[in-house]
Amino acid sequence: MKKSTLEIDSVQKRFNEKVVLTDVYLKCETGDIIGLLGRNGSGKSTLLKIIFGIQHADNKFIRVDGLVKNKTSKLLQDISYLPQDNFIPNNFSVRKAVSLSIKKENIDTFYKDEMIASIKEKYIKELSGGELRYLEIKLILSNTSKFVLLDEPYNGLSPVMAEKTNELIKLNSKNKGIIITDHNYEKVINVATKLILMKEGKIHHLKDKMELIEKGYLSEGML
Amino acid sequence: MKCIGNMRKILNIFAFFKSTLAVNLACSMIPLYFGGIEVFVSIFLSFGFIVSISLKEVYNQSNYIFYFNNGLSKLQLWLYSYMMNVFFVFVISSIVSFIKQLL
Repeated sequence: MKKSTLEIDSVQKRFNEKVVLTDVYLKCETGDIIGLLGRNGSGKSTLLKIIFGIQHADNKFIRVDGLVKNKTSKLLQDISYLPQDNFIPNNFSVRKAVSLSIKKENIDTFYKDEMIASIKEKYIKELSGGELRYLEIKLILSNTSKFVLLDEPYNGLSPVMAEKTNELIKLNSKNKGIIITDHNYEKVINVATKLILMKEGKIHHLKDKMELIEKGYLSEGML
Repeated sequence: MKCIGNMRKILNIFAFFKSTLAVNLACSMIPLYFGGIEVFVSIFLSFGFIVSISLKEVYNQSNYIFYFNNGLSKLQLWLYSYMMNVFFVFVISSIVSFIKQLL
C-alpha cells in the first residue's frame, strides 16, 4: 500500500495580540498515530481546525504527498476531522449517516461491529452520548480519507468503549495517518506511536513519555 | 468506482438541499398567496434561500462538518443546492402552467 504524508509547516496564529501557535511543524505518515498533548488553551484544537481548514491561520503551509494544498476544498478530499461537538445532523437515521459516508462495498463490514449493529435502526437524536461518539469515530475512520484528526475522541465514552475506540484507531492506522488529542493522556499514550507536547504555542516532539513530566505537563507519579 | 463516489456526493448534496427546503418554503408561501407563482419563484430563489442558509450558519454550523468529512466544501454545498432549488422551481412552475392549461 502507498504511504501518504501530511506535512504542516510554519503555522502561526494570533488571537488579538496573544500568540497561540508559532512556527508549528508536524509530519504525519500513513501508519502514524500522533498523540498531541497539552494543557487547556495550549492550542491543540486550534491547530487541528487550522489543518482541516475550518479556522483561519495567519500563516500555514499544508502539503499532502509533497503537494501544497491551499484550498480547503482540496484538503477535504484527504483529511477527515472529529470535532469536540457532535457533527451528524440530528434528523438523520444511523443508516442514512452510514450510507452517505461509507463506500457501498464496505457497509456490510461496517455493520459487523456489535455496537453499531445494535443502533442501526435508530435515529441520531435517539442515541446516547457514548453511542453517538463511537459512531462518529467509526464513520470518519472508515471513510476514504488518508488522514484523520481526532479532537477529544474519548469524551463521553465508557472505559470499555474507550478501549474499543483505541483498537479501532490502531486497526485503521494501517492505511491512514492519525492525529489524536485528548485530556485522557493515558489512553492517548497507550495508542500513540509518536508523542507531541504543545506548550506556549510551540510544538515539542518527544522521544519518551517521561519527557511529559520533565516538560511540566504531568506531575511525578502520574505515569 | 469513482462514479459510485460521485453518486455518494450527489446524495450528500441532496440531503443538504432537503435540510434547507422547509425554511425556504415557509419564507416563500406568503408571497405565493399574495403574488402568485412568479413572486414565489423569485422569493424561493433569493430571500428564502438566503434565510435558510443564514439560519444554518447560526444554529447548525456543526452539521457542516458531516459534509466536509464526505469531501464537500461549504461553497460546493451552497452552489449545488442552489442549482437543485432552480430545478425544483422549474418542476413546480411546469406543473402549475400545465394545470393552468388544463383549466
